[in-house]
Amino acid sequence: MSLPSLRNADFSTYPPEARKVATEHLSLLQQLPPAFAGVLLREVVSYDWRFPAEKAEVDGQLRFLGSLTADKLQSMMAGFAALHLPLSLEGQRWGADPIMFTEKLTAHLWANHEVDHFRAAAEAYQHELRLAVPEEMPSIPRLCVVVVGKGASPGQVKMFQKLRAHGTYFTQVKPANGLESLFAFVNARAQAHPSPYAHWYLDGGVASPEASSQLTTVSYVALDPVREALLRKVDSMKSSGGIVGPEDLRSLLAQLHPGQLGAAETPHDAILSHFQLDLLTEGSGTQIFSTTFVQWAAREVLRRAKPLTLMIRYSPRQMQRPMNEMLAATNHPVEYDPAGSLVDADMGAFYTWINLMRLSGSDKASFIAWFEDQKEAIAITPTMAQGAISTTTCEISQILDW
Amino acid sequence: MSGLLGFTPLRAMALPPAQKVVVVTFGGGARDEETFAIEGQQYIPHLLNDLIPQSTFFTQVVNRGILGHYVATASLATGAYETFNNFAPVAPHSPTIFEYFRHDLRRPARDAWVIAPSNGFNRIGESDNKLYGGGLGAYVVLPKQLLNTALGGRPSDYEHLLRDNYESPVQVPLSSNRVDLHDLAKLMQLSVTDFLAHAKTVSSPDELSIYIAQRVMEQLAPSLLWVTLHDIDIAHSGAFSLYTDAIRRSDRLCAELWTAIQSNPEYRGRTSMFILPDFGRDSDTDAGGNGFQHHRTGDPLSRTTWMMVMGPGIRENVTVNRAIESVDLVPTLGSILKCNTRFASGRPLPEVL
Repeated sequence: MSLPSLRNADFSTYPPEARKVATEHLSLLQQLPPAFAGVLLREVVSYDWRFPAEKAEVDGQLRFLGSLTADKLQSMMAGFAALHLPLSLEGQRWGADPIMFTEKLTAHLWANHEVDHFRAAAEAYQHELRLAVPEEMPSIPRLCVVVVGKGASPGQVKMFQKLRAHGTYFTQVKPANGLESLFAFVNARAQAHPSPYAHWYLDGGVASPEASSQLTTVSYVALDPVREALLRKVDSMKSSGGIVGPEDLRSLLAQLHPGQLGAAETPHDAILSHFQLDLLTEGSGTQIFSTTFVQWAAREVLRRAKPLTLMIRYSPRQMQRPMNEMLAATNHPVEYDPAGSLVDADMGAFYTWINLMRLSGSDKASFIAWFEDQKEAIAITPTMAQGAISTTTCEISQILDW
Repeated sequence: MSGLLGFTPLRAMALPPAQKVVVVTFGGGARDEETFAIEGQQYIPHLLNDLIPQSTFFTQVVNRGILGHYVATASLATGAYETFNNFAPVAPHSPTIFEYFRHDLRRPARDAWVIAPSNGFNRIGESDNKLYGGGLGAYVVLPKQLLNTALGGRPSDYEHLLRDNYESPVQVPLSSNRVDLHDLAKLMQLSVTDFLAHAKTVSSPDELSIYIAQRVMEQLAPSLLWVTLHDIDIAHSGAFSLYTDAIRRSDRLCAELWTAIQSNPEYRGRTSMFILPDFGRDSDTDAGGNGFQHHRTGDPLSRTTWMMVMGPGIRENVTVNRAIESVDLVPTLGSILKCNTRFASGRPLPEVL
């Protein structure tokens, strides 16, 4: 089955910058198989609200593809061109709604046992892209700080198990002023190396006043109004009966805009507003568990913004309750689960390190995780011994300096 | 004379009674990292210490189908990769093991039971295949729906049992092809009051499922019993602690079920039990996923899981490292139960036959 070729009119509903990018590259996009072009257009359609690093990524891909000879482009796209497309899309202007297109394509690939072929084609393309367009190196080595365990008791969990092989595990950290030291350090980095969306602070509770205004800050509590509005929206979508399963719901949520949830679409920072909404609409569980929110937000900040500095702090999440009850936006008093949250955050720290390691300059990056108000920490840096345990009494600030 | 000598009454007496099969699937997917890998063994003490020594253990069970729980469980039950929308209330297209079993052995409906999560699994017991289907399926019990019915929708002390996984609140509900409360009460000689009283003592939906399974075994002793546990699917909410708590619970419940089998004269010594997750979950290292939370990447880890088989005639403490497929389950069950699973695409597993 073949789909209608892309045309400029398909981009008429795109936001201004996205429309400009798409129309400028129309002839290139027309040469790409829909299975690939749809995925690329999914990135392009939200170009206006993308971080600088993401825009550079899209621009770089388009430049790379545009630089290829027709034969080379064809051979690189062969894996995507060989995929069968869903009949349900026949005759549709698929380029006008790449989000819906890719959702349908994904379901179709799974049902037709072609998802593995898509994966193989995507990996091969990514390999070629990275050879031709290497990722930009950070201006300074990246730093990631993870603070876990607020309100949890020590001794319940063997901390940082999955991380220990990669760095030095400290057992005698002086907890006093630990948080202040960490903030002072990341604030200073933001001050010394100012750049849009380069320095971040994510908090699973209320944002600390210690964070400087130069950090791009996202806190779970500050997003309560958006979160609750979203839950109400989900509830009304469920009640309307038009949703068949979570995939349908995800597709609908992916098309929401901050303004539709009554959220203050901060005029001076629409990018951040959209990003925050994405965290709640694209991340499973971020709407109900603060630990999930922080882990997912850290993943997305690293993947999308490619920051120089990321500080994240976990807070206790609510206890598990019936899912329908948790998904309902109610003002019932919430009971917290600090012990379970510590386990969640410990795993979240591991995932944050993995995501940090995926970025350029990972061999020079530093990662520190600390059990808040306790004596345990781990540091994974180019200068720290791997698989080592330090029982020396020390301050957090000393670990930062080593 | 030769005819008399040929008559061997003692050997006839020693013939094993008809074989029974219990299948337990973890509809939620569990990774090796949180089960049989070194770091995961803390979550499965019963499987590891009590059941593995009694079982033949397959270390690589590959699921090449769609990694959604209902469609994957349907594929497990049919032995063919089903391709329907995971969230649609449809029946499997290939015949299920329940239909093969009942059709070929002319067994009554009460000899094949499924106990499954309430949302989405309503149609798991019977296919829409024209040659089978049509009343040849299993009784399907949906414990949470039963509980809801028993409570008459009143607010209650049972909310912990009514909780759904992260995805099911938006699942399309369907109320056909299942046993209702009164049928079940009659079949199991269980009063609604007793049911509610016991439900109060358990702490999760899977515990309720195992309780029902045990009651079915005690009262009806079906030859084919299929239990799908689903607490593990809380992993989709991203809370690692809740995911591993659910694995611990599944581990304990499997051991309890095996103990119940061994203490029930109808089952002891004549029952094979199969335990397997429907598939794995995404790898920590696949950039397309988010580790344990989902099973969306289709990476090898999300497609690969394990299976443990135990029972009379099955070798104990044996590990099989060759890769098998999850659709091999039904042909294997067919061989044990002596029915022809002709539309299944998998192959019987000689290691347990």
